[in-house]
Amino acid sequence: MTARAVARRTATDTEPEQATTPEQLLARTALGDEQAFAVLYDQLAGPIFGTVFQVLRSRAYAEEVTQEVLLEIWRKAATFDVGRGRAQTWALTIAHRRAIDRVRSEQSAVDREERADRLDLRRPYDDVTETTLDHLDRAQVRAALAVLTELQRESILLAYFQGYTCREVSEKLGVAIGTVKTRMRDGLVRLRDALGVH
Amino acid sequence: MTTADTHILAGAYALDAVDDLERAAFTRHLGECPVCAEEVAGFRETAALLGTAAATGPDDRFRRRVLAEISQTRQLPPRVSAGPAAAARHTPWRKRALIGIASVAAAAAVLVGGISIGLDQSVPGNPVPVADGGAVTSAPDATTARAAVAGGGSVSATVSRQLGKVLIAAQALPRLDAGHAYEVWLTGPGAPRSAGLVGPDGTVETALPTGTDGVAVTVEPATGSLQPTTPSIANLAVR
Repeated sequence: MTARAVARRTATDTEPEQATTPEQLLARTALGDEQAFAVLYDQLAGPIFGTVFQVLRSRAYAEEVTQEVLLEIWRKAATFDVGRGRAQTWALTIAHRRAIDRVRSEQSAVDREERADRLDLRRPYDDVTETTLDHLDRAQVRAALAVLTELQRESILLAYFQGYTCREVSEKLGVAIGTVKTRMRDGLVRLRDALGVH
Repeated sequence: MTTADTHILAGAYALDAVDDLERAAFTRHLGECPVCAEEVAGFRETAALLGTAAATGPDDRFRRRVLAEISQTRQLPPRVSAGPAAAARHTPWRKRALIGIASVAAAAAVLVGGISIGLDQSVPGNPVPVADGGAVTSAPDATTARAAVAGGGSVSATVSRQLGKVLIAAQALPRLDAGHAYEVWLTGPGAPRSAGLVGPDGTVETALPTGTDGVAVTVEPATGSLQPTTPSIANLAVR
């Protein structure tokens, strides 16, 4: 055990209580506490990897992006503002955005004709709701999704788990883009209330 | 940006289902519309619960790799002093990091002409906006190359191999007619790969494929081209 590790261990032992919420762990991470980050990792890596993997559909890409996200959390821990929301939300917002960025930059690097066909290369949308629901192991979330209309649910799941833009959702489902935007919003309102957020 | 139509975008924005233009516009809107800002916060928390429900673990090998890497990775300093305990931690490297970040941030502000892109967590009291995409400009290994353009203006490319990203910023390039746009290309061993059209904010950020050794800019039809169709107006070598 290095002197540094001994010092850290000693410091931990003398603390009155162990930080356990992601917010507390993030606060300690911000001070360079690698052990706190390791515990935070155990709480967040699963949700981050799961979200990113749903969007990217490739384990290799998902690991790459998940690693970037975790490093960003480590680097930016001090900039997390507890007044602006939960640590998990902060982490997953970063993760989702990075996954989406990766999907879109991969797309822009391929031939534009392929790009036009891209939507058809993905899973047929009929599978999306069911396949995604199969992966959602939280009964509460599944139950909340069940209160949405089909169009609300499909718009939200295509966007969040497949990385579709409003325009792509509109093309895929054959509804006006304005309708898609409206359904995403009122669907999220309904989902938020069903999940008891705020 | 205060029409009902704008507010509608809160859902799509929270789901990252907007394009870059919409995102930039709505991010600005959030700064002046507390109602939408609160709604987006709630939507993001809702979306995060969807993400949590999809949780699946990467393996132990991955865990070891990440934990090994963070111990080699510098952290950003806190935004505000968090009391004596935090102040005591301002070791010399932290001071250096602060100075480094300030100068990189200043460079970023020059690059994007003061336009903040995708700035989700705005920093009150911080004079220099660092875009969320500023992940590139604030990366420890970020390097910037710049070239003047014959017709006026300049183009710069900030590269982070560590992040695998490049941020290309155009400054004061000659205005093109509505039928044309500037397109950015990544050059390397194969044919040039389009990194997309330069947006109204003057920047393009994209993944940096391995083997990329340069960035070029050409004038193309406004719909973009598959391959460059005109001689490049700027060429930058990237490391």
